[in-house]
Amino acid sequence: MESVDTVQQYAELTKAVKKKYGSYLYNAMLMPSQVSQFIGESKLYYIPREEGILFLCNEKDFYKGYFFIKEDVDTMEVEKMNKPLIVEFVISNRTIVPVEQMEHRIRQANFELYVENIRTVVELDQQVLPERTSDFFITWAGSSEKEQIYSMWEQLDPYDSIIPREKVYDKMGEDKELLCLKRGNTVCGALRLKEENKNTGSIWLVAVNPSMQGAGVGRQLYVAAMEAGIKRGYKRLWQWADRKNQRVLKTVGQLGFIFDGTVSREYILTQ
Amino acid sequence: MREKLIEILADLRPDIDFENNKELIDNGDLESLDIVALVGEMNDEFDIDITVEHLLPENFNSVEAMIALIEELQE
Repeated sequence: MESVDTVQQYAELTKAVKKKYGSYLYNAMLMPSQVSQFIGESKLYYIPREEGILFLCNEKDFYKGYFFIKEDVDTMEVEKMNKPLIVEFVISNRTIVPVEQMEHRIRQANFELYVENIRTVVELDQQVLPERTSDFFITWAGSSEKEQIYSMWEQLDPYDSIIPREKVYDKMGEDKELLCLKRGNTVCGALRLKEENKNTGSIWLVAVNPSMQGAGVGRQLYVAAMEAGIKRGYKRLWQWADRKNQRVLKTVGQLGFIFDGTVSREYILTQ
Repeated sequence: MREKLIEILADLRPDIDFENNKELIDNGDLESLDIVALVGEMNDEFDIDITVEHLLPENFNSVEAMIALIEELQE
């Protein structure tokens, strides 16, 4: 396993596959900003394969895999690694055929479906926002909320994969991306409101203090995110949610979020 | 070239006015999923090789920007 040290190197490695085989299949095309982020966090690696190349993003408890392989490969032998390997496909009504072909080969290589997330979108100018209760106050989180927020995040995902590292958290704080619901000094819930472009924001890392589950904190957080989005001039917000998480889907559905046809499927090869 | 490119774009996103929209990415009208779908089509149609280093918002913000990218890669 070799490290990828520059975006240019990543580009050259993918070009080499195309040069060798004329074309390739892939499960996802990383944007330069994503490659830069992974390189900046020293977590992007590659493994040359007979049929192409495998890029690995080294997360805390698993690898995220990005395959580039020749089109006519019939089977893929994927060696077991010291951590689970997850391969993601993002599919919409605009998905191109090669991604579907790649997904077929992943299934043949004994990966199992791990989670299916769907993307929901709300058009902010079409919503009448409910009032927020006065039990909580909203603030942009910073260093003083960090410990409580990390504690909530750690309970979100079994692989702890999504928890931003310190520097990334600090930058989110500086960029006023972390919206926090507090009661006194207690963080009741938090989420990340990220700018996708001048018209669009996205919601990530929604977390509710375990001692306050079922108290409507999640709903209040989403309302706060929508208020903040409107203040920023966004026309819409979107977020991913596990298709099976009926509680979240019901909450956001009541606030006007609807499925936009985009699905993310993650397949896992366990150790 | 322009007509063919607009044909490809319209096929992908018939809901967008590509002739007049100069902020396709900045406005969020085209997103990364669209760009990935576009890349294959543009590579095949114009015999170019768009790779990750070219996947920058400014290269896809308008039809003119995409034409400039195609011409640059054809040189």
